[in-house]
Amino acid sequence: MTKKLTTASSVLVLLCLIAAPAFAQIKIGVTLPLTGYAASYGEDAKRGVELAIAQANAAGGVRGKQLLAVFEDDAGAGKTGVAAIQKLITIDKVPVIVNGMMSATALPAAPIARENKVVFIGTLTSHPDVTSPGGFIYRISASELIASNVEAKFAYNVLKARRAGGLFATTDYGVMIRKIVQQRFEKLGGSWVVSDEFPQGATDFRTQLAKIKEKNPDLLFVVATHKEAAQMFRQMVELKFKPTVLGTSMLNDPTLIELAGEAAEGVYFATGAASASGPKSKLTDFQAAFKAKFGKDPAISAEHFYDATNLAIEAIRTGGETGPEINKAMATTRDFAGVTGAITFTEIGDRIFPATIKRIEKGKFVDTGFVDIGD
Amino acid sequence: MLIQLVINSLVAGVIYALLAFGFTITYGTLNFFNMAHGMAYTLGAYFSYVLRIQWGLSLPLAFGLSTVATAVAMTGVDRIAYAHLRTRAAPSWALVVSSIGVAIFLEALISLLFGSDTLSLRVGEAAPGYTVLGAIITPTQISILVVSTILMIALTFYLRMTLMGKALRATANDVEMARVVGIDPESTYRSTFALASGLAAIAGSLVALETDLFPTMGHTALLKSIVASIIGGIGSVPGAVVGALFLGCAENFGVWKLSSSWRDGIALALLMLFLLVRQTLARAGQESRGR
Amino acid sequence: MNLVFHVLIMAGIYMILALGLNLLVGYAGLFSVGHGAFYGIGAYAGAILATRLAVPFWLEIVVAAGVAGAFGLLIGLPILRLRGDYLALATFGFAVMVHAVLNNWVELTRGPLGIRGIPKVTLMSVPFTALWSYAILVGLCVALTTLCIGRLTRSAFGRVLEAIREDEVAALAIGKNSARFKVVAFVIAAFLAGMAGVLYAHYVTFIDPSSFVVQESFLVFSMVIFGGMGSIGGSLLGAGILVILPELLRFIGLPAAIAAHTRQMIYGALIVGVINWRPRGLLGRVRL
Repeated sequence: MTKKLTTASSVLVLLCLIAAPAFAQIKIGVTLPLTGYAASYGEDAKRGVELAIAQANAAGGVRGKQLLAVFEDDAGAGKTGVAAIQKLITIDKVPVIVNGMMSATALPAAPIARENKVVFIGTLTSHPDVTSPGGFIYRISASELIASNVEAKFAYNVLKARRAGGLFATTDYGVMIRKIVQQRFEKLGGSWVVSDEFPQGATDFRTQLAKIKEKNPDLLFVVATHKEAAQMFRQMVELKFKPTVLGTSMLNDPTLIELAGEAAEGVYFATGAASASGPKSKLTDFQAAFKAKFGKDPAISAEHFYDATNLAIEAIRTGGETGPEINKAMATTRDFAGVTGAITFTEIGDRIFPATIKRIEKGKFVDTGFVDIGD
Repeated sequence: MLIQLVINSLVAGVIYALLAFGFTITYGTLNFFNMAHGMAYTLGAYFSYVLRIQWGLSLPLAFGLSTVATAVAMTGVDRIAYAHLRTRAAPSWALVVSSIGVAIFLEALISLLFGSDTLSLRVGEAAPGYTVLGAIITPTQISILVVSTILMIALTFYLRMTLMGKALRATANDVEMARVVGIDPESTYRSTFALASGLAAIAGSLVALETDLFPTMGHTALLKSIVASIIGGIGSVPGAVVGALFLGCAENFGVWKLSSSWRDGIALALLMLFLLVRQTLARAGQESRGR
Repeated sequence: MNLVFHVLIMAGIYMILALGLNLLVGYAGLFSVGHGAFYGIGAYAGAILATRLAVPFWLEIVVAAGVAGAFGLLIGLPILRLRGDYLALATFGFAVMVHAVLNNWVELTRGPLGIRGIPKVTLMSVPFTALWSYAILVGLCVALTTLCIGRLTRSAFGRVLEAIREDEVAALAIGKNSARFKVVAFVIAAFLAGMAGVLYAHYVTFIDPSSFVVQESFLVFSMVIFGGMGSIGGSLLGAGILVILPELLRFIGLPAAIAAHTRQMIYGALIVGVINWRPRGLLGRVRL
């Protein structure tokens, strides 16, 4: 009898010891596309999260515990996204989830997080309906409304373009932005001479470019991923068609330069403005640390997921380990120094975010100094 | 503008022709729609990437070896996924289902090994193309046209003049008769499959040179193979070429007039149209013959 | 627990899809690889009715499924005259076309923006908003479908379908209008797929064209083959296993990216394996 008791209790103690590290961990759930169309963005994002966690753990963790990121593949699709978030909430019991690279996953997932009192931090999704009153849902991506208005203003006021054209992907993102930019540009007094589109993932833009070239706009607004844009720019060189090009923050990716080379020279794009002091150096520190750890340069997904993870970590540090506590801390975030800029949330969880325009010069992203809130 | 459209159509058309040729002879001899045909295209591109970018071989050598590698790999696939079904005289839809499984497997494998990022075969800057009669054509496009045309001519020669080519045609025509005259169907199947895959591989390599590579690039290739073959009449080699050129023209001229996002839609509409038209004609022919 | 209900709901939806497709593939021998199209049509029809016209659920599901069935009729009439492989190509083409239309006809479907805010279900004043209650609702639909399909297949109608599968010429010879039977089966299958689509739309509350790509059709087709053609139990089992399997793989503990690709590889290998070495699937009665 005593023997059994001793064995049983020692097994129990052993189990507790093994499980103890698990108890001493705080989990952050992350869903991202690891398969499917957006997989390369997902891989980049994952690295951003890993860096944030590694840095926080190296600095001693949070509240005396180490952090652990639990990754789930959402394949960029609705049903897989729902499965991913359900697993994170019910099995892994995470108090906060970083998500939202694509609207297809963010839109169904956000309300589920809210229902379960888990904090949801959207990163790159720009669908206006992701955020709503009720708490627990936040989004750090620059609202496309702002960036698009800024683009139009820049084009008209600074570049003095008067005849613009658009070439955009037929995605929710593309459709929305083209509409906003065109409206704003025309309101400012410019004329929109031609629009054409392409399906997501297209590689051959020759016919579209030929059609646009006929109308001869002096500025071309482009809504494309960096992969699509790289092909587009190369084909523009081949077709001897070189208007000024203005794109979205999707072009904020060093791979664009790798793939397009000189064809990307002189291209402008809008992106979130890191404010003059503090965060600017945070960006360069981040880039250096990223390159050191992964041997690659970070792109826009990594930046956003890095910030989202750090926001979560900070909220855990100041608020607590449960969802509602984290939610309270997130809501009071003011000027959080992120690599994508200073972060402050509105009452419905959107980010107040001035945008800036950058230019590609000699293979590097260069500031133009134009910052605006695109009202 | 017209000249530009013609050039674009031809470049697209000859690529589709290489793809459709392989797809149609696979149907003609092995009797099934090979849904993994797009993967031969993808494998060709990725092998070329490994040989050229990772191993530093010259472009022609990389392309040549990648074609051989793909043909060998796909012959292996045939042994695993299709040969067994053939010996059991399985209906062709079983082979189609198997090829769907193969396609899913191979695409995931490539994603696993190479990641989902787009990779590039090029080693230089984009350069303005040559101006010809008011339109622009790039060196890569010229290579595509030249290589494809040479291959087409070589293939016609192969089918008409060589023993293996004739064996292929005989087996496609009537497998029992072919057996009777001493042709071994299995080895014909294997060589047909290798040939089809090799052609798709070259097409993939050429296109990758132009527009980079990514794991899902085979999807469009498969679609175009199917449509071009059906338009020209499945199983017919000249038909495949004609269908391919027609498809290339229809797409480019169509996109010129309609909105560009309907490009694939044009291919599909043609597919449905030709499927139905051919079936109606075939039925009408049967009825008029009083069957 | 939420995860369990989620899996049950998705499994149920796919079971309905598989049962309908089995009627075509397993019983009638019609090689239809475009089933996802009707799923999408039903989902969108339901979503539009619910969000723009505030139609009560019981009416919405009937009408939306009906719309899917109507398309089944529209497409079935010309297509079902094609034989075997050509039918496969045509249905494949149809599925891709439907996806293209969903994506491009922005006035109707909002294109890539998708339709969001699909309300949770209230049926006859009973709210089915909780996860477990929705799982019950889906379960009831599955039971209903199984019953109907069971009845159909055991009836004379079912026997004629099987006769058509085995030897269409013989069926014609004994005076059965094979074309009519095929179309009816097609419409029924489309109707059921549409119903599944409505259930899906109300579950995820946001749909966009990316949920209805051609791979969905392949997935349902694999479930029927894997479960076994001509077997109702097979379709249920096939759907259940192929829905649960990817979720199980989440737990194995591979690094996330590798797990996702491995999932796909296993799935592809499974298809090749089944068709080569056990073509009748788990419970199928149809021999190759």
